[in-house]
Amino acid sequence: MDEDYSSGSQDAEREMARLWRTWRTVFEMLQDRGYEVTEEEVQIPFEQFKTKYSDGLGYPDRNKMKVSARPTEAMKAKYTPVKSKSNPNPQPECGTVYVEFCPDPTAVGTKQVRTFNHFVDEQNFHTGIFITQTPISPSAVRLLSGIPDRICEHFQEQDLLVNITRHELVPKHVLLSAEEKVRLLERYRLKESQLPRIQVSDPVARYLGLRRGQVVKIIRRSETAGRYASYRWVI
Amino acid sequence: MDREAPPKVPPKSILRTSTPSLHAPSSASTIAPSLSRQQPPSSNLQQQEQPQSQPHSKASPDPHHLAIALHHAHRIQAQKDAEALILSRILELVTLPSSPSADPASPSAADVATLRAALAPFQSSDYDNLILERNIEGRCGYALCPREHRREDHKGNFRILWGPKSSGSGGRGREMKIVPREKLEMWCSDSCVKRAMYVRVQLAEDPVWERRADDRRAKEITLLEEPRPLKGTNTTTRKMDDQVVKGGEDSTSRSEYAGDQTASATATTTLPLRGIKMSFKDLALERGDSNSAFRDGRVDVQVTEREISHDAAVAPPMPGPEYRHGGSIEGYTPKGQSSPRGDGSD
Ligand SMILES: [Zn+2]
Repeated sequence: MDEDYSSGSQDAEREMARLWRTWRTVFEMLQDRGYEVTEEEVQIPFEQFKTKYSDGLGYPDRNKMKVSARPTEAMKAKYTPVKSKSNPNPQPECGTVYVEFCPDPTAVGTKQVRTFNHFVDEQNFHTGIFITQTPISPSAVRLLSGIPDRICEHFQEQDLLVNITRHELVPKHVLLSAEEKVRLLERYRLKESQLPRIQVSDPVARYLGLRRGQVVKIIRRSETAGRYASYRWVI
Repeated sequence: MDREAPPKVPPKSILRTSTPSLHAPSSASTIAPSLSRQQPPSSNLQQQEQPQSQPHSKASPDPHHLAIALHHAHRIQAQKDAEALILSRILELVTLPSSPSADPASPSAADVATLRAALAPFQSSDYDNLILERNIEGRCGYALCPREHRREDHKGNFRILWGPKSSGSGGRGREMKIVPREKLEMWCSDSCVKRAMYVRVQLAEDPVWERRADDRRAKEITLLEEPRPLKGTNTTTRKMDDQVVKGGEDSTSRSEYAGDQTASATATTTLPLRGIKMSFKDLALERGDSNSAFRDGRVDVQVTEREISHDAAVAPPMPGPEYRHGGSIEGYTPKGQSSPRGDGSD
Protein backbone atom coordinates (compact mmCIF):
# COMPACT_ATOMS: atom_id res chain seq x y z
CA MET A 1 0.00 0.00 0.00
CA ASP A 2 2.76 2.39 0.96
CA GLU A 3 4.59 1.55 -2.23
CA ASP A 4 1.53 2.18 -4.34
CA TYR A 5 1.04 5.46 -2.65
CA SER A 6 4.61 6.58 -3.13
CA SER A 7 4.73 5.53 -6.79
CA GLY A 8 1.50 7.42 -7.30
CA SER A 9 2.89 10.51 -5.71
CA GLN A 10 6.06 10.21 -7.75
CA ASP A 11 3.90 10.13 -10.83
CA ALA A 12 2.08 13.21 -9.70
CA GLU A 13 5.33 14.97 -8.93
CA ARG A 14 6.70 14.21 -12.39
CA GLU A 15 3.57 15.50 -14.08
CA MET A 16 3.61 18.64 -11.96
CA ALA A 17 7.25 19.25 -12.86
CA ARG A 18 6.54 18.98 -16.60
CA LEU A 19 3.58 21.26 -16.33
CA TRP A 20 5.59 23.76 -14.31
CA ARG A 21 8.09 24.02 -17.17
CA THR A 22 5.28 24.61 -19.66
CA TRP A 23 3.73 27.18 -17.35
CA ARG A 24 6.97 29.12 -17.11
CA THR A 25 7.40 29.08 -20.88
CA VAL A 26 3.89 30.48 -21.23
CA PHE A 27 4.84 33.43 -19.02
CA GLU A 28 8.10 33.97 -20.86
CA MET A 29 6.13 33.93 -24.08
CA LEU A 30 3.65 36.50 -22.79
CA GLN A 31 6.54 38.65 -21.62
CA ASP A 32 8.37 38.34 -24.95
CA ARG A 33 5.23 39.31 -26.83
CA GLY A 34 4.96 42.43 -24.70
CA TYR A 35 2.23 41.65 -22.19
CA GLU A 36 2.28 42.89 -18.61
CA VAL A 37 3.59 40.05 -16.48
CA THR A 38 5.73 40.39 -13.40
CA GLU A 39 9.14 38.85 -12.92
CA GLU A 40 7.73 36.90 -9.93
CA GLU A 41 5.12 35.33 -12.18
CA VAL A 42 7.72 34.33 -14.73
CA GLN A 43 10.06 32.94 -12.10
CA ILE A 44 7.50 31.08 -9.99
CA PRO A 45 9.34 28.43 -7.91
CA PHE A 46 8.26 24.81 -8.25
CA GLU A 47 7.02 24.49 -4.66
CA GLN A 48 4.80 27.51 -5.05
CA PHE A 49 3.47 26.28 -8.38
CA LYS A 50 2.67 22.92 -6.77
CA THR A 51 0.73 24.40 -3.89
CA LYS A 52 -1.21 26.65 -6.16
CA TYR A 53 -2.13 24.32 -9.02
CA SER A 54 -2.38 20.76 -7.73
CA ASP A 55 -5.38 18.84 -6.47
CA GLY A 56 -5.70 16.93 -3.19
CA LEU A 57 -3.68 13.98 -4.53
CA GLY A 58 -0.82 16.13 -5.78
CA TYR A 59 -1.83 15.88 -9.46
CA PRO A 60 -2.20 18.97 -11.62
CA ASP A 61 -5.56 20.70 -11.52
CA ARG A 62 -5.64 22.39 -14.91
CA ASN A 63 -9.02 23.95 -14.21
CA LYS A 64 -7.18 26.43 -12.02
CA MET A 65 -4.63 27.27 -14.68
CA LYS A 66 -6.09 30.32 -16.36
CA VAL A 67 -4.21 33.52 -16.98
CA SER A 68 -4.98 36.84 -18.56
CA ALA A 69 -2.62 39.73 -19.23
CA ARG A 70 -2.85 43.21 -20.71
CA PRO A 71 -0.51 44.57 -23.35
CA THR A 72 2.17 47.01 -22.20
CA GLU A 73 2.31 50.51 -23.67
CA ALA A 74 5.31 49.40 -25.71
CA MET A 75 3.34 46.54 -27.21
CA LYS A 76 0.40 48.80 -28.01
CA ALA A 77 2.73 51.22 -29.79
CA LYS A 78 4.19 48.38 -31.81
CA TYR A 79 0.77 47.16 -32.84
CA THR A 80 -0.60 50.54 -33.86
CA PRO A 81 -0.93 50.97 -37.63
CA VAL A 82 0.54 54.06 -39.23
CA LYS A 83 -1.65 57.08 -39.68
CA SER A 84 -3.28 57.43 -43.05
CA LYS A 85 -6.04 59.38 -44.69
CA SER A 86 -8.49 56.52 -44.28
CA ASN A 87 -7.28 55.81 -40.75
CA PRO A 88 -6.30 59.15 -39.22
CA ASN A 89 -6.52 57.95 -35.64
CA PRO A 90 -5.28 54.34 -35.60
CA GLN A 91 -5.93 52.15 -32.58
CA PRO A 92 -3.55 49.43 -31.38
CA GLU A 93 -4.45 46.05 -32.82
CA CYS A 94 -3.82 44.13 -29.65
CA GLY A 95 -5.54 43.71 -26.33
CA THR A 96 -5.91 41.48 -23.34
CA VAL A 97 -4.73 37.92 -23.82
CA TYR A 98 -6.31 34.93 -22.11
CA VAL A 99 -4.58 31.58 -21.62
CA GLU A 100 -6.34 28.38 -20.62
CA PHE A 101 -5.09 24.85 -20.02
CA CYS A 102 -7.56 22.21 -21.17
CA PRO A 103 -8.12 19.61 -18.42
CA ASP A 104 -9.20 16.81 -20.80
CA PRO A 105 -6.35 14.29 -21.10
CA THR A 106 -7.29 13.10 -24.62
CA ALA A 107 -9.76 13.60 -27.44
CA VAL A 108 -9.97 17.35 -27.71
CA GLY A 109 -12.23 18.48 -30.50
CA THR A 110 -14.75 21.11 -31.48
CA LYS A 111 -16.67 20.57 -28.26
CA GLN A 112 -13.94 21.99 -26.01
CA VAL A 113 -12.88 24.62 -28.53
CA ARG A 114 -16.42 25.87 -28.85
CA THR A 115 -16.55 26.44 -25.09
CA PHE A 116 -13.18 28.18 -25.18
CA ASN A 117 -14.16 30.41 -28.11
CA HIS A 118 -17.39 31.29 -26.41
CA PHE A 119 -15.58 32.37 -23.25
CA VAL A 120 -13.02 34.45 -25.16
CA ASP A 121 -15.80 36.14 -27.07
CA GLU A 122 -18.01 36.72 -24.07
CA GLN A 123 -15.19 38.21 -21.98
CA ASN A 124 -14.12 40.31 -24.94
CA PHE A 125 -10.51 39.12 -24.91
CA HIS A 126 -8.52 40.16 -27.94
CA THR A 127 -6.44 37.00 -28.05
CA GLY A 128 -6.98 33.52 -26.65
CA ILE A 129 -4.38 30.79 -26.19
CA PHE A 130 -5.70 27.27 -25.74
CA ILE A 131 -3.23 24.72 -24.39
CA THR A 132 -3.96 21.00 -24.52
CA GLN A 133 -2.20 17.81 -23.52
CA THR A 134 -2.75 16.05 -26.85
CA PRO A 135 -3.21 17.22 -30.44
CA ILE A 136 -6.62 18.64 -31.26
CA SER A 137 -8.79 17.57 -34.19
CA PRO A 138 -8.50 19.33 -37.59
CA SER A 139 -12.02 20.73 -37.25
CA ALA A 140 -11.13 22.10 -33.83
CA VAL A 141 -8.07 23.85 -35.29
CA ARG A 142 -10.26 25.44 -37.92
CA LEU A 143 -12.91 26.44 -35.43
CA LEU A 144 -10.30 28.01 -33.18
CA SER A 145 -8.94 30.23 -35.92
CA GLY A 146 -12.40 31.18 -37.11
CA ILE A 147 -13.70 33.69 -34.55
CA PRO A 148 -14.15 36.94 -36.41
CA ASP A 149 -12.02 39.84 -35.14
CA ARG A 150 -10.32 37.77 -32.49
CA ILE A 151 -7.19 35.71 -32.55
CA CYS A 152 -7.16 32.26 -30.99
CA GLU A 153 -4.07 30.11 -30.92
CA HIS A 154 -3.36 26.57 -29.88
CA PHE A 155 -0.32 24.96 -28.33
CA GLN A 156 0.31 21.52 -27.00
CA GLU A 157 1.86 21.38 -23.55
CA GLN A 158 4.88 19.59 -24.92
CA ASP A 159 5.48 22.38 -27.48
CA LEU A 160 6.21 24.65 -24.57
CA LEU A 161 8.19 22.29 -22.30
CA VAL A 162 11.29 24.05 -23.54
CA ASN A 163 11.42 27.65 -24.62
CA ILE A 164 12.84 27.30 -28.12
CA THR A 165 13.73 30.98 -28.38
CA ARG A 166 16.18 30.51 -25.49
CA HIS A 167 18.16 27.99 -27.49
CA GLU A 168 21.58 29.32 -28.47
CA LEU A 169 21.14 28.36 -32.12
CA VAL A 170 17.87 30.24 -32.49
CA PRO A 171 18.59 33.86 -33.46
CA LYS A 172 16.71 36.64 -31.78
CA HIS A 173 13.48 37.58 -33.55
CA VAL A 174 12.12 41.08 -33.00
CA LEU A 175 8.80 42.25 -34.37
CA LEU A 176 8.96 45.60 -36.18
CA SER A 177 6.26 48.14 -35.47
CA ALA A 178 4.09 49.23 -38.37
CA GLU A 179 6.08 52.43 -38.57
CA GLU A 180 9.44 50.67 -38.47
CA LYS A 181 8.27 48.45 -41.26
CA VAL A 182 7.37 51.41 -43.45
CA ARG A 183 10.74 53.02 -42.78
CA LEU A 184 12.62 49.83 -43.55
CA LEU A 185 10.88 49.40 -46.88
CA GLU A 186 11.55 53.01 -47.77
CA ARG A 187 15.17 52.87 -46.82
CA TYR A 188 15.81 49.85 -49.03
CA ARG A 189 13.26 50.87 -51.67
CA LEU A 190 11.57 47.51 -51.35
CA LYS A 191 8.10 46.16 -51.56
CA GLU A 192 7.35 43.90 -48.63
CA SER A 193 6.86 41.01 -51.04
CA GLN A 194 10.53 41.35 -51.97
CA LEU A 195 11.65 40.45 -48.47
CA PRO A 196 12.53 36.89 -47.54
CA ARG A 197 9.61 35.21 -45.82
CA ILE A 198 8.73 33.47 -42.61
CA GLN A 199 5.56 31.43 -42.22
CA VAL A 200 3.05 32.06 -39.45
CA SER A 201 3.38 28.36 -38.68
CA ASP A 202 7.12 28.69 -38.00
CA PRO A 203 7.73 27.74 -34.35
CA VAL A 204 9.26 31.09 -33.48
CA ALA A 205 6.49 32.94 -35.35
CA ARG A 206 3.95 30.93 -33.38
CA TYR A 207 5.77 31.68 -30.13
CA LEU A 208 5.69 35.41 -30.84
CA GLY A 209 2.14 35.30 -32.18
CA LEU A 210 3.23 36.90 -35.46
CA ARG A 211 0.53 37.78 -37.97
CA ARG A 212 0.53 37.84 -41.73
CA GLY A 213 1.89 41.05 -43.15
CA GLN A 214 4.18 41.87 -40.24
CA VAL A 215 7.94 42.11 -40.62
CA VAL A 216 10.30 40.54 -38.12
CA LYS A 217 13.95 41.44 -37.64
CA ILE A 218 16.28 38.52 -37.08
CA ILE A 219 19.51 39.24 -35.27
CA ARG A 220 22.31 36.73 -35.57
CA ARG A 221 25.75 36.65 -34.13
CA SER A 222 28.50 35.87 -36.53
CA GLU A 223 32.18 35.29 -35.86
CA THR A 224 33.23 37.38 -38.82
CA ALA A 225 30.68 40.15 -38.81
CA GLY A 226 29.73 40.49 -35.17
CA ARG A 227 25.98 40.96 -35.18
CA TYR A 228 23.98 41.26 -38.31
CA ALA A 229 20.30 41.64 -38.94
CA SER A 230 18.01 40.33 -41.60
CA TYR A 231 14.31 40.87 -42.13
CA ARG A 232 11.46 38.53 -42.91
CA TRP A 233 7.95 39.16 -44.08
CA VAL A 234 5.38 37.03 -42.26
CA ILE A 235 3.15 35.08 -44.63
CA MET B 1 -1.79 28.89 -65.63
CA ASP B 2 -5.18 30.00 -66.75
CA ARG B 3 -5.83 33.67 -66.57
CA GLU B 4 -9.36 34.87 -66.56
CA ALA B 5 -10.67 38.33 -66.90
CA PRO B 6 -10.66 40.08 -63.53
CA PRO B 7 -14.06 40.00 -61.91
CA LYS B 8 -15.21 43.48 -61.13
CA VAL B 9 -15.05 43.51 -57.38
CA PRO B 10 -12.95 45.91 -55.36
CA PRO B 11 -9.86 44.13 -54.06
CA LYS B 12 -10.34 45.10 -50.46
CA SER B 13 -13.46 43.05 -49.94
CA ILE B 14 -11.95 39.97 -51.51
CA LEU B 15 -8.90 39.99 -49.36
CA ARG B 16 -10.85 40.14 -46.17
CA THR B 17 -9.42 37.92 -43.48
CA SER B 18 -10.02 37.26 -39.83
CA THR B 19 -8.28 40.45 -38.74
CA PRO B 20 -9.34 42.85 -41.42
CA SER B 21 -7.89 46.05 -40.12
CA LEU B 22 -4.46 44.54 -39.77
CA HIS B 23 -4.41 42.89 -43.16
CA ALA B 24 -5.95 45.57 -45.23
CA PRO B 25 -2.91 47.84 -45.56
CA SER B 26 -0.49 45.07 -46.40
CA SER B 27 -2.72 43.28 -48.86
CA ALA B 28 -3.64 46.52 -50.54
CA SER B 29 -0.02 47.29 -51.10
CA THR B 30 0.68 43.81 -52.45
CA ILE B 31 -1.86 44.33 -55.12
CA ALA B 32 -1.09 47.96 -55.75
CA PRO B 33 2.65 48.28 -55.32
CA SER B 34 3.20 51.58 -53.71
CA LEU B 35 4.04 54.16 -56.30
CA SER B 36 3.24 56.95 -53.96
CA ARG B 37 6.75 58.32 -54.01
CA GLN B 38 6.09 59.66 -57.49
CA GLN B 39 2.89 61.27 -56.42
CA PRO B 40 2.66 65.03 -56.31
CA PRO B 41 2.73 66.30 -52.74
CA SER B 42 -0.67 66.07 -51.26
CA SER B 43 -2.40 69.21 -50.14
CA ASN B 44 -4.02 67.38 -47.31
CA LEU B 45 -2.66 68.81 -44.09
CA GLN B 46 -3.44 65.69 -42.13
CA GLN B 47 -0.73 63.86 -43.95
CA GLN B 48 2.23 65.83 -42.84
CA GLU B 49 3.84 62.95 -41.03
CA GLN B 50 4.14 60.14 -43.52
CA PRO B 51 2.63 60.96 -46.86
CA GLN B 52 4.31 57.96 -48.47
CA SER B 53 2.61 55.41 -46.30
CA GLN B 54 -0.80 56.17 -47.63
CA PRO B 55 -2.11 52.77 -48.69
CA HIS B 56 -4.76 53.93 -51.14
CA SER B 57 -2.50 55.26 -53.80
CA LYS B 58 -4.18 56.65 -56.87
CA ALA B 59 -1.54 55.32 -59.23
CA SER B 60 -3.01 52.32 -60.97
CA PRO B 61 -1.07 49.06 -60.91
CA ASP B 62 -0.26 46.88 -63.89
CA PRO B 63 -3.70 45.55 -64.90
CA HIS B 64 -2.21 42.22 -65.80
CA HIS B 65 -0.74 41.73 -62.34
CA LEU B 66 -3.98 42.90 -60.84
CA ALA B 67 -5.89 40.30 -62.81
CA ILE B 68 -3.68 37.52 -61.56
CA ALA B 69 -3.83 38.74 -57.99
CA LEU B 70 -7.62 38.98 -58.15
CA HIS B 71 -7.91 35.54 -59.65
CA HIS B 72 -5.89 34.07 -56.81
CA ALA B 73 -7.71 36.12 -54.23
CA HIS B 74 -11.02 34.77 -55.51
CA ARG B 75 -9.82 31.23 -55.36
CA ILE B 76 -8.51 31.67 -51.85
CA GLN B 77 -11.74 33.30 -50.76
CA ALA B 78 -13.81 30.50 -52.32
CA GLN B 79 -11.72 27.97 -50.49
CA LYS B 80 -12.07 29.80 -47.19
CA ASP B 81 -15.82 30.08 -47.58
CA ALA B 82 -16.10 26.41 -48.42
CA GLU B 83 -13.99 25.40 -45.44
CA ALA B 84 -16.11 27.52 -43.14
CA LEU B 85 -19.26 25.99 -44.58
CA ILE B 86 -17.96 22.45 -44.18
CA LEU B 87 -16.95 23.16 -40.60
CA SER B 88 -20.44 24.40 -39.75
CA ARG B 89 -21.90 21.30 -41.42
CA ILE B 90 -19.64 19.08 -39.33
CA LEU B 91 -20.80 20.82 -36.18
CA GLU B 92 -24.39 20.28 -37.30
CA LEU B 93 -23.91 16.61 -38.13
CA VAL B 94 -22.20 15.89 -34.81
CA THR B 95 -25.57 16.44 -33.17
CA LEU B 96 -27.48 13.96 -35.37
CA PRO B 97 -29.65 11.92 -35.10
CA SER B 98 -32.35 14.19 -33.75
CA SER B 99 -33.80 11.55 -31.46
CA PRO B 100 -31.73 9.59 -28.94
CA SER B 101 -33.80 6.50 -29.72
CA ALA B 102 -33.32 6.70 -33.48
CA ASP B 103 -32.56 3.48 -35.29
CA PRO B 104 -29.64 3.78 -37.73
CA ALA B 105 -31.21 1.01 -39.81
CA SER B 106 -34.35 3.03 -40.40
CA PRO B 107 -33.55 6.68 -39.84
CA SER B 108 -36.17 9.39 -39.87
CA ALA B 109 -36.81 11.07 -43.20
CA ALA B 110 -35.89 14.45 -41.76
CA ASP B 111 -32.51 13.24 -40.54
CA VAL B 112 -31.76 11.59 -43.86
CA ALA B 113 -32.59 14.82 -45.65
CA THR B 114 -30.37 16.80 -43.28
CA LEU B 115 -27.50 14.40 -43.77
CA ARG B 116 -27.74 14.35 -47.54
CA ALA B 117 -27.98 18.12 -47.81
CA ALA B 118 -25.13 18.68 -45.40
CA LEU B 119 -22.78 16.24 -47.10
CA ALA B 120 -23.01 17.90 -50.52
CA PRO B 121 -19.75 19.87 -50.27
CA PHE B 122 -17.86 17.14 -48.40
CA GLN B 123 -14.74 15.32 -49.49
CA SER B 124 -13.93 12.04 -47.82
CA SER B 125 -11.39 13.78 -45.59
CA ASP B 126 -14.13 16.10 -44.32
CA TYR B 127 -16.26 13.05 -43.64
CA ASP B 128 -13.39 11.51 -41.66
CA ASN B 129 -13.21 14.71 -39.65
CA LEU B 130 -16.90 14.34 -38.89
CA ILE B 131 -16.35 10.78 -37.67
CA LEU B 132 -13.49 11.98 -35.48
CA GLU B 133 -15.60 14.77 -34.00
CA ARG B 134 -18.44 12.36 -33.23
CA ASN B 135 -16.02 9.96 -31.59
CA ILE B 136 -14.59 12.76 -29.45
CA GLU B 137 -18.10 13.34 -28.18
CA GLY B 138 -18.38 9.63 -27.44
CA ARG B 139 -20.77 8.86 -30.28
CA CYS B 140 -20.74 6.26 -33.01
CA GLY B 141 -19.08 7.61 -36.17
CA TYR B 142 -22.15 7.04 -38.33
CA ALA B 143 -24.11 10.27 -38.38
CA LEU B 144 -27.54 8.66 -38.07
CA CYS B 145 -26.64 6.44 -35.13
CA PRO B 146 -27.39 7.65 -31.60
CA ARG B 147 -25.33 4.98 -29.83
CA GLU B 148 -21.95 5.33 -28.20
CA HIS B 149 -18.89 4.15 -30.04
CA ARG B 150 -17.20 0.95 -28.93
CA ARG B 151 -14.50 1.16 -26.32
CA GLU B 152 -12.09 -1.66 -26.08
CA ASP B 153 -10.94 -2.32 -22.55
CA HIS B 154 -7.77 -4.12 -23.40
CA LYS B 155 -4.55 -2.41 -24.21
CA GLY B 156 -2.76 -3.20 -27.43
CA ASN B 157 -3.11 -1.58 -30.78
CA PHE B 158 -4.61 -4.37 -32.85
CA ARG B 159 -7.56 -6.73 -32.67
CA ILE B 160 -8.01 -9.99 -34.46
CA LEU B 161 -11.44 -10.57 -35.94
CA TRP B 162 -12.55 -14.03 -37.03
CA GLY B 163 -14.92 -14.56 -39.91
CA PRO B 164 -17.69 -17.16 -39.99
CA LYS B 165 -16.90 -20.85 -40.45
CA SER B 166 -15.26 -21.86 -43.72
CA SER B 167 -14.57 -18.29 -44.69
CA GLY B 168 -10.82 -18.86 -44.78
CA SER B 169 -8.74 -19.34 -47.87
CA GLY B 170 -9.91 -22.23 -50.01
CA GLY B 171 -13.14 -22.49 -48.02
CA ARG B 172 -11.43 -24.01 -45.02
CA GLY B 173 -11.07 -22.61 -41.53
CA ARG B 174 -11.99 -19.09 -40.61
CA GLU B 175 -10.93 -15.92 -42.19
CA MET B 176 -8.76 -13.75 -39.98
CA LYS B 177 -8.69 -10.01 -40.09
CA ILE B 178 -6.34 -7.77 -38.15
CA VAL B 179 -7.81 -4.39 -37.40
CA PRO B 180 -6.22 -1.43 -35.68
CA ARG B 181 -7.92 -0.79 -32.38
CA GLU B 182 -8.73 2.85 -33.11
CA LYS B 183 -10.53 1.81 -36.32
CA LEU B 184 -12.73 -0.53 -34.34
CA GLU B 185 -13.46 2.10 -31.74
CA MET B 186 -14.91 4.53 -34.27
CA TRP B 187 -18.22 2.69 -34.38
CA CYS B 188 -20.84 1.03 -32.23
CA SER B 189 -21.05 -2.05 -34.43
CA ASP B 190 -19.95 -3.58 -37.72
CA SER B 191 -23.28 -2.58 -39.26
CA CYS B 192 -22.47 1.06 -38.69
CA VAL B 193 -19.07 0.65 -40.35
CA LYS B 194 -20.89 -0.51 -43.45
CA ARG B 195 -23.48 2.22 -43.33
CA ALA B 196 -20.86 4.91 -42.86
CA MET B 197 -18.48 3.59 -45.51
CA TYR B 198 -21.33 3.18 -47.97
CA VAL B 199 -21.82 6.93 -47.74
CA ARG B 200 -18.12 7.74 -47.70
CA VAL B 201 -17.34 6.16 -51.05
CA GLN B 202 -19.96 8.32 -52.71
CA LEU B 203 -18.32 11.58 -51.68
CA ALA B 204 -16.44 13.62 -54.24
CA GLU B 205 -12.71 13.36 -54.42
CA ASP B 206 -12.06 16.94 -55.38
CA PRO B 207 -12.72 19.91 -53.13
CA VAL B 208 -15.98 21.72 -53.64
CA TRP B 209 -14.36 24.95 -54.85
CA GLU B 210 -12.84 23.06 -57.77
CA ARG B 211 -16.02 21.33 -58.85
CA ARG B 212 -18.15 22.36 -61.76
CA ALA B 213 -21.43 24.01 -60.98
CA ASP B 214 -23.43 21.19 -62.58
CA ASP B 215 -21.60 18.47 -60.71
CA ARG B 216 -24.21 15.96 -59.64
CA ARG B 217 -22.17 13.65 -57.53
CA ALA B 218 -22.75 15.02 -54.10
CA LYS B 219 -26.46 15.52 -54.57
CA GLU B 220 -27.12 11.87 -55.09
CA ILE B 221 -25.83 10.42 -51.89
CA THR B 222 -27.81 7.35 -51.00
CA LEU B 223 -27.89 5.33 -47.85
CA LEU B 224 -27.23 1.66 -47.50
CA GLU B 225 -30.39 -0.22 -48.37
CA GLU B 226 -31.45 -2.12 -45.30
CA PRO B 227 -34.06 -4.76 -44.71
CA ARG B 228 -36.27 -4.33 -41.69
CA PRO B 229 -34.86 -6.45 -38.87
CA LEU B 230 -36.74 -9.76 -38.81
CA LYS B 231 -38.09 -10.38 -35.32
CA GLY B 232 -34.93 -9.10 -33.76
CA THR B 233 -32.81 -11.99 -35.04
CA ASN B 234 -29.55 -10.27 -35.16
CA THR B 235 -27.73 -12.86 -37.20
CA THR B 236 -30.10 -12.74 -40.14
CA THR B 237 -29.86 -8.98 -40.23
CA ARG B 238 -26.13 -9.18 -40.27
CA LYS B 239 -26.16 -11.75 -43.06
CA MET B 240 -28.41 -9.62 -45.16
CA ASP B 241 -26.16 -6.66 -44.62
CA ASP B 242 -23.36 -8.77 -45.95
CA GLN B 243 -25.29 -9.65 -49.04
CA VAL B 244 -26.28 -6.10 -49.72
CA VAL B 245 -22.81 -4.72 -49.73
CA LYS B 246 -21.13 -7.77 -51.10
CA GLY B 247 -21.80 -7.89 -54.76
CA GLY B 248 -19.21 -5.94 -56.65
CA GLU B 249 -19.12 -7.75 -59.96
CA ASP B 250 -22.19 -9.79 -59.12
CA SER B 251 -24.49 -6.93 -59.97
CA THR B 252 -27.49 -8.79 -61.30
CA SER B 253 -28.14 -10.76 -58.17
CA ARG B 254 -27.69 -7.58 -56.22
CA SER B 255 -30.27 -5.57 -58.05
CA GLU B 256 -32.68 -8.48 -57.94
CA TYR B 257 -32.21 -8.56 -54.26
CA ALA B 258 -32.84 -4.89 -54.06
CA GLY B 259 -35.98 -5.31 -56.13
CA ASP B 260 -37.31 -7.94 -53.77
CA GLN B 261 -36.59 -5.83 -50.83
CA THR B 262 -37.84 -2.45 -51.87
CA ALA B 263 -41.43 -3.44 -51.29
CA SER B 264 -40.87 -4.37 -47.70
CA ALA B 265 -37.84 -2.32 -46.94
CA THR B 266 -37.95 0.66 -44.67
CA ALA B 267 -36.89 3.27 -47.01
CA THR B 268 -39.10 5.78 -48.58
CA THR B 269 -36.07 7.97 -48.26
CA THR B 270 -33.47 5.72 -49.83
CA LEU B 271 -33.28 4.81 -53.47
CA PRO B 272 -33.33 1.24 -54.67
CA LEU B 273 -29.94 -0.08 -55.56
CA ARG B 274 -30.81 -0.23 -59.23
CA GLY B 275 -31.08 3.55 -59.10
CA ILE B 276 -27.69 3.87 -57.52
CA LYS B 277 -26.20 1.68 -60.13
CA MET B 278 -27.70 3.79 -62.85
CA SER B 279 -26.40 6.98 -61.34
CA PHE B 280 -22.94 5.51 -61.07
CA LYS B 281 -23.12 4.63 -64.73
CA ASP B 282 -24.13 8.16 -65.66
CA LEU B 283 -21.41 9.46 -63.48
CA ALA B 284 -18.78 7.29 -65.05
CA LEU B 285 -19.90 8.41 -68.48
CA GLU B 286 -19.79 12.00 -67.44
CA ARG B 287 -16.30 11.62 -66.13
CA GLY B 288 -15.14 9.69 -69.16
CA ASP B 289 -14.54 6.70 -66.97
CA SER B 290 -15.91 3.84 -69.03
CA ASN B 291 -15.35 1.17 -66.44
CA SER B 292 -18.45 1.62 -64.33
CA ALA B 293 -17.53 -1.37 -62.23
CA PHE B 294 -14.86 0.76 -60.67
CA ARG B 295 -17.11 2.46 -58.15
CA ASP B 296 -18.99 -0.68 -57.32
CA GLY B 297 -15.70 -2.38 -56.88
CA ARG B 298 -14.67 0.29 -54.49
CA VAL B 299 -17.83 -0.18 -52.49
CA ASP B 300 -17.00 -3.81 -52.16
CA VAL B 301 -13.44 -3.29 -51.08
CA GLN B 302 -14.15 -0.46 -48.71
CA VAL B 303 -17.09 -2.01 -46.99
CA THR B 304 -16.41 -5.65 -46.44
CA GLU B 305 -12.62 -5.64 -46.62
CA ARG B 306 -12.94 -9.31 -47.37
CA GLU B 307 -12.83 -11.42 -50.47
CA ILE B 308 -15.78 -13.74 -50.77
CA SER B 309 -14.34 -17.07 -51.68
CA HIS B 310 -16.70 -18.52 -54.29
CA ASP B 311 -16.37 -15.96 -57.02
CA ALA B 312 -13.22 -14.26 -55.84
CA ALA B 313 -10.90 -17.13 -56.73
CA VAL B 314 -8.90 -15.33 -59.34
CA ALA B 315 -6.14 -17.33 -60.89
CA PRO B 316 -2.70 -15.78 -60.56
CA PRO B 317 -1.35 -14.44 -63.83
CA MET B 318 0.51 -17.18 -65.62
CA PRO B 319 3.62 -16.09 -67.43
CA GLY B 320 3.54 -17.11 -71.08
CA PRO B 321 6.28 -19.18 -72.69
CA GLU B 322 8.06 -16.04 -73.89
CA TYR B 323 8.72 -15.16 -70.28
CA ARG B 324 10.45 -18.40 -69.50
CA HIS B 325 13.76 -16.69 -69.45
CA GLY B 326 12.66 -13.50 -67.82
CA GLY B 327 11.23 -11.84 -70.92
CA SER B 328 12.59 -8.74 -72.57
CA ILE B 329 14.02 -5.72 -70.88
CA GLU B 330 12.76 -2.58 -72.61
CA GLY B 331 12.55 -4.50 -75.85
CA TYR B 332 15.87 -6.25 -75.52
CA THR B 333 15.76 -9.97 -74.97
CA PRO B 334 18.83 -11.35 -73.25
CA LYS B 335 20.10 -14.38 -75.13
CA GLY B 336 21.31 -17.75 -74.00
CA GLN B 337 20.26 -17.51 -70.35
CA SER B 338 18.15 -20.59 -69.87
CA SER B 339 18.22 -20.78 -66.12
CA PRO B 340 16.77 -24.01 -64.79
CA ARG B 341 14.83 -22.24 -62.06
CA GLY B 342 13.01 -19.82 -64.31
CA ASP B 343 10.55 -22.43 -65.52
CA GLY B 344 7.08 -21.16 -64.74
CA SER B 345 5.08 -24.25 -65.67
CA ASP B 346 4.14 -26.91 -63.17
ZN1 LIG C 1 -23.61 3.05 -34.74
